[in-house]
Amino acid sequence: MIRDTYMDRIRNFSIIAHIDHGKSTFADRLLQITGVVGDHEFHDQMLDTMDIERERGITIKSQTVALPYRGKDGADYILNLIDTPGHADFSYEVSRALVSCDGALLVIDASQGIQAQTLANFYMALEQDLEVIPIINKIDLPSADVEGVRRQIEKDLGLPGDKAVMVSAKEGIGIEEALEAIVRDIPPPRGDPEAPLKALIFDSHWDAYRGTIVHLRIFDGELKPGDIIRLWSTEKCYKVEETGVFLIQREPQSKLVAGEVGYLIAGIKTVRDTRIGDTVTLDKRPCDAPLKGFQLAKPVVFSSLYPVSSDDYDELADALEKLKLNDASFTFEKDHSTALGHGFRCGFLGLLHLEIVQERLEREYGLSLVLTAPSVQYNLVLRDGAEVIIDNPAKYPDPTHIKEAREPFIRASIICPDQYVGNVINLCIDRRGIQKNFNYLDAKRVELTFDLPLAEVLFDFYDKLKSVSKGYASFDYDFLEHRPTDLVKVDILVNGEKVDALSMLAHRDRAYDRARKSCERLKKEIPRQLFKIPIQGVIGGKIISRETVSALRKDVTAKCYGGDITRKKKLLEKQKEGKKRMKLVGSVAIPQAAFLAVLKTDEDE
Amino acid sequence: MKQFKPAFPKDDQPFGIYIHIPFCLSRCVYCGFATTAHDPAQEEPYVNAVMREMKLWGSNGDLQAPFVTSHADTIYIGGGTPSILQVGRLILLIDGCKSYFRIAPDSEITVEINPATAGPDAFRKMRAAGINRASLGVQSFHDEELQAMGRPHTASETVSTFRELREAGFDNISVDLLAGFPGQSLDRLRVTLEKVFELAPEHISAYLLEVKPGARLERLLYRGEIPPIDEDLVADMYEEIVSLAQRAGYEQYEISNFAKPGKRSRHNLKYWTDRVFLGLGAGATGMNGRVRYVNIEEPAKYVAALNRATLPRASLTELTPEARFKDALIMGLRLVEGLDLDILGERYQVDAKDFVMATIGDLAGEGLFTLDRDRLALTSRGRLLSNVIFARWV
Repeated sequence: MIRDTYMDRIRNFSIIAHIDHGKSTFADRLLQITGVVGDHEFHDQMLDTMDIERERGITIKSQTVALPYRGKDGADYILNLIDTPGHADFSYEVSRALVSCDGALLVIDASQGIQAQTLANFYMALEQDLEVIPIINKIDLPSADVEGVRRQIEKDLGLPGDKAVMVSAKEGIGIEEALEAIVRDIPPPRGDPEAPLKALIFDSHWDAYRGTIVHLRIFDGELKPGDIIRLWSTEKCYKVEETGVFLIQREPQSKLVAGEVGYLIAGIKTVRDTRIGDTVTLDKRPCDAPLKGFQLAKPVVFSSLYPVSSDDYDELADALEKLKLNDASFTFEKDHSTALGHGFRCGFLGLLHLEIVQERLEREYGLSLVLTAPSVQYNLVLRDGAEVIIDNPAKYPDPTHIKEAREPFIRASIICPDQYVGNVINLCIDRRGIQKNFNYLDAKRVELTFDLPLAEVLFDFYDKLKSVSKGYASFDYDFLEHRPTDLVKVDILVNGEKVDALSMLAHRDRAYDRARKSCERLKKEIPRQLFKIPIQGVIGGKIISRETVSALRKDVTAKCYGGDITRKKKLLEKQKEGKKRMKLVGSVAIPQAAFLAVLKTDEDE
Repeated sequence: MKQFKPAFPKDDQPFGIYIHIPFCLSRCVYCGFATTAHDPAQEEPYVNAVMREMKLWGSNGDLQAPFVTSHADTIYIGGGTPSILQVGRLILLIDGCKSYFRIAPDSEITVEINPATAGPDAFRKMRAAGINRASLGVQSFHDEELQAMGRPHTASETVSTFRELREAGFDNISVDLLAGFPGQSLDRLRVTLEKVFELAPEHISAYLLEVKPGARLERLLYRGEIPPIDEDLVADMYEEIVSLAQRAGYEQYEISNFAKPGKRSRHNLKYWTDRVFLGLGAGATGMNGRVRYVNIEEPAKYVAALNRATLPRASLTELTPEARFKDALIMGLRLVEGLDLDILGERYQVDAKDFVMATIGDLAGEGLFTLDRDRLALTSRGRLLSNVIFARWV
């Protein structure tokens, strides 16, 4: 009996939003008003614990926090906020976090209205049967159009517009109302505490002292220290050491019961052993079926990472191992480049994921890295009938052996005001897109559906989309399938030597352009050296573009008297430091930035 | 490389004295100093503070060693713009040096002068006080360029000031030129050089523009308000200066310095030959053989320190024999004649040739330097690329 009332006092919810619509600030306010953090401990983006998250204003890792709240009805509630990553790269993680919830707050910017990710998140919430409460945020802005957004909510989402809560997270307006709406509108969790344990792993992280901390939602049964649990997909068993809930910090509890969200610690060595979306049950008394929707996160973007200094190889290996402890979704294996020596071929969920891993390696492990152009995974059918999967230009076979190449396609949903539709369509067609749908959401906004090669989206598609739509277009995508393509390999020669790390696979129509731009960018980034350096782009042995870095003529300190020597030596030391970040390829020092510049396209055009 | 354990040199005296005057009428576009507009009221306390600094050297324990036990044979008053000081104060500084230190009778005593900041009367007084060399900040003979540089004078004022210096009896005048300023062309540079040669100074310092952090120029370039510097053009300018100066009878003796025979800057040679020097004034640097010090740069704080009778040090760096040896290489190779590695090795008790070959031997084929028996010297290409070599020794 007590259980029932207890469960009635729990609400499990998530906050979902299009990027920059104010999700983190809103979450911060919930933490403050419920007293989970005191004002003196408070800082912005409380739940984003990584520097990268704060700097970029995005959430990468999920975080969970139990908010104690006394409702207007006088009852005490536990509101479990399950914060989710805010980027399409992590959509699977988001979907699993949502499965752990019973409702979601959909934060919409009052001046920007419903955007592509708003819709994508909303659909995802609907799929999980979540109760969705619209939150119209930033109502304090002069450009806020509350009524317009209310109409969009009714038309685009089919939700009653008057249900929306008016909020300014920045000004702290409407936060109480939002908490009341959670209590009132989101149903308490359902589940049978007496049934066999059935719990969902929606995230896990690594703790240096305790090993893997598994974040989970208990659907049925209960879980306590001493229990032997079994992970459904791996069939591995572990003895539970600790269970508890998150109050920013971990707070041990004697047990977790159906409806609750919390964590377990069971001496699990790496986060890889705990797969997001997997079901946890008891070894002795298992549930009869796992929770639905489990998938193995599969990397879709591949790039090779090399230490600038080959002495750092072991450190890089070590750092990757450590990162992997906390990020089960990226993969790595040994790789070797003639130009860059030993490194690793790594797989990521997307370009953002790649950038995050790179930044963490550089910042947290102090490594200086060179990355190769990211590649998608191509399926090749060879003349002998064999099928190979290629994600590394270095492994591209002799083209005469290839019968057919296939590349991954995505289905993109783009929402933009109708005056930019022409620009957006042109961009998508330029990127080899195939238009699938064109739908007026209301008098002014259009939702476009395009099938696009993933490879075309990897390179600055998003930036370009923003620029052709003056920032108004929003974008979201799902994976589709592999489709036949005309693939070629572009090689780059620097000072006559092929730099394998600069090679890339591209569609024939794009290859010339990519080669030319790579040469142009390399020319800008490779500093002048004592001799002149030709840079050539080559397709199938044919040189199709050429640039030259002319020889350095002047590197002199004109004025150097008594006091100047110290300053001058500092400058030279700085130059030397800069050189350390360069990779010597043959006799040419190529800065790390040059390898990165090649990854970009069009930023100047 | 063999064991590398240099020793301190013994023959690094007599010393030179540098006095810094941090005042200017206005701030040049390329200036990296945090100078403020000149306020004549600051002159007196500042000069008094420098006098106090001189006096304090007599009671400066170990640091004072060469400056009290040996003598100076060069004094250089630089800036900033020393010539905007009332001439009496300049003379006071020279007299101060003479009363606090031993100054050789044939010393070279230089004052930096900016055009139109002082006149015939002041110049005559300077000469009478023993100042025997003037360094004139010419920079350019094009008014548009001077204006773009933020120089508060015209080309014709430069000519007048030069003539007034001559008439006052200055028979050793150096002029400073600036090349590579955005907008400058080779043709215009040639015109400037022609006009300089017409004036026939004894010495020319021609500096390629450096974009110093904090200079207004840095901001202008960053914002694209002036076109980016064309490094190839600047290199062409340098080569043009070297060749025209030689044709006009000036010998290039250092990367940026040219002189008529016998008229090299004795003071600046102290720096390039690793001799000790005393630095006085705000932001000045000194080196006594064992320690390099830098004075507080901000004039008001410098004055305040001396008002409390403390030495106005911003920093003090202990030198090692190794650091001095490397400095000697870097500074010495700036000289066109280069370095005799045998003598240098003797001076620092080390196999200098071995060290040089181990550190820059791989660049031997690049045409940057020559090693003829024991003489190591930069080539003309090497002078323009000297940092490539010097970077090996930091």
